[in-house]
Amino acid sequence: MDQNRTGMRDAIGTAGSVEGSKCRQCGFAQVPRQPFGCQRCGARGDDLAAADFSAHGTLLQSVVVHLHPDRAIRTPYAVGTVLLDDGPVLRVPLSGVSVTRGPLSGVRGRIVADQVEGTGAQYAFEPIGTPHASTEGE
Amino acid sequence: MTRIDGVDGATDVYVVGIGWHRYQRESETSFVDLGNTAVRAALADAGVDWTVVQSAYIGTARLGMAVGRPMLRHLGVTGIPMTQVENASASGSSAFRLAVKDVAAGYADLALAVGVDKPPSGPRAEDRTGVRSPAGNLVFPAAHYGLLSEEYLRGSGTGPEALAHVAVKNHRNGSLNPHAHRQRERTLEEVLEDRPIAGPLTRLQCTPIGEGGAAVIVASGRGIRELGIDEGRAVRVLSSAQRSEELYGTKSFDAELTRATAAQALGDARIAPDLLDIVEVHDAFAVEELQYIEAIGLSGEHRAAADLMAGEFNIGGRVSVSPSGGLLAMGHPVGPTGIGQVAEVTLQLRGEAGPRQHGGARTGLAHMVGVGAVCVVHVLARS
Repeated sequence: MDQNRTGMRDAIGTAGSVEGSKCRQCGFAQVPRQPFGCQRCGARGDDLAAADFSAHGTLLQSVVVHLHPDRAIRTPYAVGTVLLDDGPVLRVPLSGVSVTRGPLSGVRGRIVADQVEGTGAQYAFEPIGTPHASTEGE
Repeated sequence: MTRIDGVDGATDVYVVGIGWHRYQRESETSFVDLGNTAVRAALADAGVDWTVVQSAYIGTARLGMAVGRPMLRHLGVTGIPMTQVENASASGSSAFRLAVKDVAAGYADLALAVGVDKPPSGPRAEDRTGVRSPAGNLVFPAAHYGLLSEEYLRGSGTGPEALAHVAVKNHRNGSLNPHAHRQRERTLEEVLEDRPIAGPLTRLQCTPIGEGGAAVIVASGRGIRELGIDEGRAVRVLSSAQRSEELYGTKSFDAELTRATAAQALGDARIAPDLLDIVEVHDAFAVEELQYIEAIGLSGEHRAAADLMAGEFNIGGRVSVSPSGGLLAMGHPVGPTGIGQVAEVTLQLRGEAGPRQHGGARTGLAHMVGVGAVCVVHVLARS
């Protein structure tokens, strides 16, 4: 995957945290950060605080995408669902994972700042240590 | 008695006319012809003239504003209220629901719901909120459902062939449907070896999004009597339910939203899931059918794949799921899709589905989800 993204990726450094919002009224935590109102209770303004969540989390699922509707986006690439240790769930591309390996699940890692040109992606999930495929290769 | 969101309708509502324009790849055909072909077929099926239709709802998501008049004016001047309904993939389902409400509330004795759409799709409001998604546009629908596929396969202990069997069944059903976008039977090997899209999903496990039209006419009992409509072919609308997404943590929001909406619709209809004979679901991606079968209550958790592979959801099985071919084979022109589902359920409950008829069908359910997310479920029964 990294090879395929060479020239597209403009890493801006490892994020120590992930930008989100946390409600002071009900405690609901979410990513991405937004100013409009709490999705659970509707609190807004000062009650909807900017929060920096731990970048560490667990990869719940991953898949390799082979075809994107926008043919300008290079494939294959891997994306996954990540449960942050602080609670929010987000979908992000994977970094440092070969697209030839099988889907990953239960892998620990961290969110890093990672912009992929032309996609709007801001973050990626980077496994810590050597990830193990949950099933045989695709 | 028709119940809408738990409220008894003052007037019973019946589907009395159905029609389609075939779902197909994008062509030079005007949306005017796509929609009006379906409307004229529905009028002919009901045996009524356009002049007796008292309100019209137009389900569409991709054509832009003000679709109704440029299309329906070619049926003749009547001055009836026309309302465009956009609710993403569930646009047609919501248009049907509003037509049902008009009749149930006594505003009309005969109402039309028509769905029509053509590519290309326009921008989504979600992309214009000013808040950037962490993954940008890298997680599009097929990637989302690819991730859900991985989750489902791991949870159920099954392999990619479980998903492929959904497509094999629905392509077989679609091969028997002259209105289907895809009308070719496919083998398990063809499905599995087709072009990979995302994770275990291959092209044949993803819906084709093209163009088409579908129309349904609903009537009150009084409308049926006064217009001389054949009561024996009228199909009763037992319930109409629509809900929107809540917060589900790590659970699949489509499945959880379906669980709540289907429970409401079945409760209002006073029908247990195991009494359903016909079910049409939003199977835009193969994994969805398995998730929704379980969410509706047709199979236990993680049992849908095994039940499907045992033939329980075939035409002639325990309950026929997606006898039209579903979104996987019937296709998904978007605006027409939910209305086409209601038309298929009606056809089946009348016993008029020809080679894809599920024998002895008495009750049916039509289910759609749409991005947002929203969910619409209707339960119908033979009169």
